[in-house]
Amino acid sequence: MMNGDRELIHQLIDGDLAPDQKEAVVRRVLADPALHEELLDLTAALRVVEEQGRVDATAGFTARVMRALPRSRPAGATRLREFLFGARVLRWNMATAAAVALVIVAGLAAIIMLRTDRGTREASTTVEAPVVVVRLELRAPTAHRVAVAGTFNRWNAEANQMARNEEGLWTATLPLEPGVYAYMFIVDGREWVADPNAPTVRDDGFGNRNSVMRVGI
Amino acid sequence: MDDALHSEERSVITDCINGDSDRYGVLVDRYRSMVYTLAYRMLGNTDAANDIAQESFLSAFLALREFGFRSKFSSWLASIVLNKCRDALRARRDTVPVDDLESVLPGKERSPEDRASARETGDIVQRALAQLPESYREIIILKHIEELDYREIAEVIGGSITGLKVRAHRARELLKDLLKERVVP
Repeated sequence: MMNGDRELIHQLIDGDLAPDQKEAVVRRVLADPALHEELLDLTAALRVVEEQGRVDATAGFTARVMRALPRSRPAGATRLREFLFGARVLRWNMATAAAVALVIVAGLAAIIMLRTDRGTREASTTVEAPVVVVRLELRAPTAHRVAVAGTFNRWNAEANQMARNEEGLWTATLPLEPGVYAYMFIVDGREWVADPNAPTVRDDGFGNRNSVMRVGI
Repeated sequence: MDDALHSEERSVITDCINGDSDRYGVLVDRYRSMVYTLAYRMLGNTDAANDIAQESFLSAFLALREFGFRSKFSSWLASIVLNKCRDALRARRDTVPVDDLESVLPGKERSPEDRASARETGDIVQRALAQLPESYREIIILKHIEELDYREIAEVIGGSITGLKVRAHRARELLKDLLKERVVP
């Protein structure tokens, strides 16, 4: 039996064959006793596995999980744990340096503006705590709408819509307190895109990579 | 994914992030069977499976802020379970030696009645799964017990669809050899 024959059998099992291909493979299998036996053995083995189905956890499982949950809000504890002990990957290049410089310059500019012009500023700027104005951008000429979600808005995909210019560059200006923020862009409400200019990326431990920015004074 | 389910889960997760941890019970009830099955089929031990299942739900709860709704919650949760199973298996390397397996599996001389025993078949299947390399075991469980398609499997364990199919094909061949003449008529 050739490896190609085995491959055809697995494609048959996976339902990957078009009707005419399927018919041809079935004919071939029926005409070849070794191939036929291979198919029967495979399908019988898979059948007994599939018949096992799911098994449920023991009684009271849900209650035990719920009792084990932390009583305090997880957000703060998780954020602190991530900040203190979370792994950080720094990737420096010219784009990174430029992005960091942009954040720092914007931060300094915001502080100077707050200090020199506080009396005349519009109430739209938060003045309760030091605030850094961060500008995020994503080039997506074909997108119809782009938003940014992250830890600063509890991953709300609708709260911070970005504005598009004529060249297809989407921007958002966010007044943020100093801190570390994970974020992603959401293109057309469904596609989550990392920031190609993000100074840092962070794996959440389960295969997803969030963009991360450090906003400082 | 079903939009209504997705929307409800999004609402539950958002509530949990905002401090309403009681709402998490909805997700635990919904996915406890999936989580426990993955853990049990990977580890082959009910106590260990219970512990891993519970730890997985707790880890997922603590990481909800990082979830980001970029995949199905069930896929994300399954990836957490499998990560924990891999860690547990690495820690104790508790796969059943082949000799041990041979002593447990019924031989060719056993009667058809014995082979028909559902419990015995379950034991045989579980021991055959334990003999598979972990990556093969994972894909057999996800494909043939959880009945995920390859796109969903890729969400859970990563990799290309083509690569996953090749892995599934090899896993099935090995599984077939392990089960042949024991449960296969």
